[in-house]
Amino acid sequence: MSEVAAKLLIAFNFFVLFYFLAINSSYLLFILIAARKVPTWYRRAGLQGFSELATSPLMPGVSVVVAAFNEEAGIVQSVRSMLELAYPTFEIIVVDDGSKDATFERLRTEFDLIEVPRVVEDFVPTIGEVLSTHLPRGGESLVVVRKTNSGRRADASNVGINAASYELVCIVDADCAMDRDGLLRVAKPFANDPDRMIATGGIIRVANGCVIERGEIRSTGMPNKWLPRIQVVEYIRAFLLGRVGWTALNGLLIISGAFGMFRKDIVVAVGGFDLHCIGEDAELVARMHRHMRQRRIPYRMVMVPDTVNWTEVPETTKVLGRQRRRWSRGLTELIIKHRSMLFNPRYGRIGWVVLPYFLVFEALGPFIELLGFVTVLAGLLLGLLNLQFAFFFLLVAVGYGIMVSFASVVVDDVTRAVYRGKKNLLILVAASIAENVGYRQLHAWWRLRGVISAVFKTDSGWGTMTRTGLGAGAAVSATQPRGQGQQ
Amino acid sequence: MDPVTVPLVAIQVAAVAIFGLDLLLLVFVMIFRAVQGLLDDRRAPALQQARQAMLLAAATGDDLANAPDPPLLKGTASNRIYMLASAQLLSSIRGDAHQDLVKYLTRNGYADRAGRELRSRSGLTRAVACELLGSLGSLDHSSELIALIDDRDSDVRHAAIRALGRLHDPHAVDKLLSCLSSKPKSPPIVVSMALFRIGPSAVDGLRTALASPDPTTRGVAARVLGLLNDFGAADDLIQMLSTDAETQPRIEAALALGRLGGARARDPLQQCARSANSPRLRVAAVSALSGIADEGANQMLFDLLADPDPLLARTSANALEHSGPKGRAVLSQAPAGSQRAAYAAEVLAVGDVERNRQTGRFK
Repeated sequence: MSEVAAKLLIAFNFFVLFYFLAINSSYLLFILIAARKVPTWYRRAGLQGFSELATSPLMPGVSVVVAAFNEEAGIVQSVRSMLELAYPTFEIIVVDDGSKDATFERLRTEFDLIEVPRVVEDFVPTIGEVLSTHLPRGGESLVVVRKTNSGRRADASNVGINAASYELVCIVDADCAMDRDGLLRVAKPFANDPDRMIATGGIIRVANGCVIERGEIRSTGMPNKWLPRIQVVEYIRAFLLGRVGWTALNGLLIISGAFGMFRKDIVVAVGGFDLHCIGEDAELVARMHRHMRQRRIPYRMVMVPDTVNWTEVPETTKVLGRQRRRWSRGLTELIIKHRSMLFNPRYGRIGWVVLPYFLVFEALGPFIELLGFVTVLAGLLLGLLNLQFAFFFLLVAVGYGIMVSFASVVVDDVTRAVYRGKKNLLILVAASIAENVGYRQLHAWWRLRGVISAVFKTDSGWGTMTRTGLGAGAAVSATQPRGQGQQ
Repeated sequence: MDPVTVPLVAIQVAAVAIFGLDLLLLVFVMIFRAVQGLLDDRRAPALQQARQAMLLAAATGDDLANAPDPPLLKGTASNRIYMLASAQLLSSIRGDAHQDLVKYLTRNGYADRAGRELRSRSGLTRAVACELLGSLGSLDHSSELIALIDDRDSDVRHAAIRALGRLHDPHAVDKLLSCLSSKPKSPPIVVSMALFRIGPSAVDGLRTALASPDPTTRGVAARVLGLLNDFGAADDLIQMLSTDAETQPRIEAALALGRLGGARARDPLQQCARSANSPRLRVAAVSALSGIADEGANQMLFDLLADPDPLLARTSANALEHSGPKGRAVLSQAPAGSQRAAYAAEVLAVGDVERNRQTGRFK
């Protein structure tokens, strides 16, 4: 091999090492920021006056929008649970997105629905046709909208936004179990700062292994399988600490479609969810940033760390891979669509820090990581790299990742201690290691495919979904969870 | 050292450091859990005993002499835990049991301790002390609570404001209103709720605040006067609706007038609904007309069913439906196929569902 090529190979290896150090250092920064904020938040959770707010006529009204496609297994329990949310003024809008199963029938029977000629306006664009709207005879705060399926969840969410009566819309997954005061917690920032607050999000945690009854978490528990266990660590790092860190830096780009609350007027002003984007939830947030910054309107978006929505995560690599390819594709589409914001001073921190971060560390990350491993192997095989050096090189790169993952677990453990007991601690240690040895590389491969499919616009459908529902007993088998989440 | 050894040594040191940190984290979390477990084991029985004593006191009524004395309050963290537990228990108990529990806690020094903790260096402790004092309903420390409205910690400020609301202390009204415009500011919703809880004794201060130079203060004053059903403020509210320079106070005035009712407000509300520049103000005015339920507004509301603003059209339809049989009769005159007819059909159908449910026709 020529000397120049050899030097390039070695230089690239060092670049990859520094890249690993940089990306993990950024995660560590978020963890350190969150480590200061999250414990304080939890300690003071009982001092927020929620008992007064829960019955206050001054709290803004909330329309909870639930897009449902083939959710017969758990839709009744989910809706029942949501109707018991502690909040003074709200409605649940279930959008039956052309389900082929008994989703609507189960709702109709359970709530004794009657069809009413409710006007569903065209505030934001939709594709599917609204077929009918229904109210319960019993007076529950529920609206069920039936529409034709267009293959896009964003379409169902937009129909829900169009049907919403109140000034705040909360988008939730049909299969999530929300804390009873969850709505109150994510709405409080709007009540406290009605002029500036435009979006809030709760955090998402892994429901697998938890005992859920009638759509509510009764007790938490560690999943039985290793894939969801790894995702427990991942969700703590990315969804809890990562997003709290971004909130503190005023750079929140992703609010999960599994649990996000938005000011309806702003969502309408930006045109609702993009019907042609896979990662429609993150793309909406990016567009809201763009809208507010272009008009120089002061605004805020925050994550509320003590508000949890529990969701099933995939238990097989097949389903998980599909999910992560979709998320990666969504993020890449977002960056491509909003590339004019990159390094554009008009968009402040979003343009200078947040989007470039996601471009370099999320979109390009899988290329660099996988290429890094390939070049290290190539270097070894060609005798260009010292074996000992390569070994320690990988040890540092992987070890730093393990440290970051475990640091997330530690911060979560000392604040909320969801997973008690020595056994669970050891499982989390092992999951932190597994997240960085094997899982990360597989994940990088999925993400790479997602990026490629976004760039070359290849097909990436949602696939079919099977659910067992959030019923009594331990949580569940492989599903196709919705919502966007990024590392 | 040769050029290969230096980076190799550096990377070896880095690897050792990283795995050392990993071990350190593991040791830390294990120690933390152990210590936390020990603290919980020590505190839990004492806290349980304290809770049982409080519940017994609430249940035994006059026979407080039989209620066991609570454990001694030792240490800041323990203080805080007991204060928070007692505040939470107070907020979940009503009636005579609540009063009995208040007497018990006061007799056993919780109020005095909370008063002293208002000067704690810990913001968390000050906030908890505010919560407890508000729940106990004692005015002994209200001047200190008023001073805490300017605390550097936002949770302390909000807890103090809530406490003053629960204490129904009219001396706090001016300070509560002033914190809406002076730094550090407090959220209007927190202040509004406190003023509302203070009740009729706040009315004089609120009426004065309708003329405040600060629009947020004017808005909050209007809102709370409406919640307090202060009919005496109607003329001032009508004046604010018609002439205020800012939109938000006008919206609050409209909503307040809707709560108060009365035909005097009909014409200014109609004027706003027809011709105000702000869509939000128009919707608020129509919503207020719904509260007034004056048939004289029916024609205007019917006209607004055809407004291009969907929210205004729907609100007008709801206002007509809520106004009674004549309003519903007006709705049924909407020309078939028109936007008016669509909204009319919706609100009439929804209204029928509601009426049938109330009369039990669905059972």
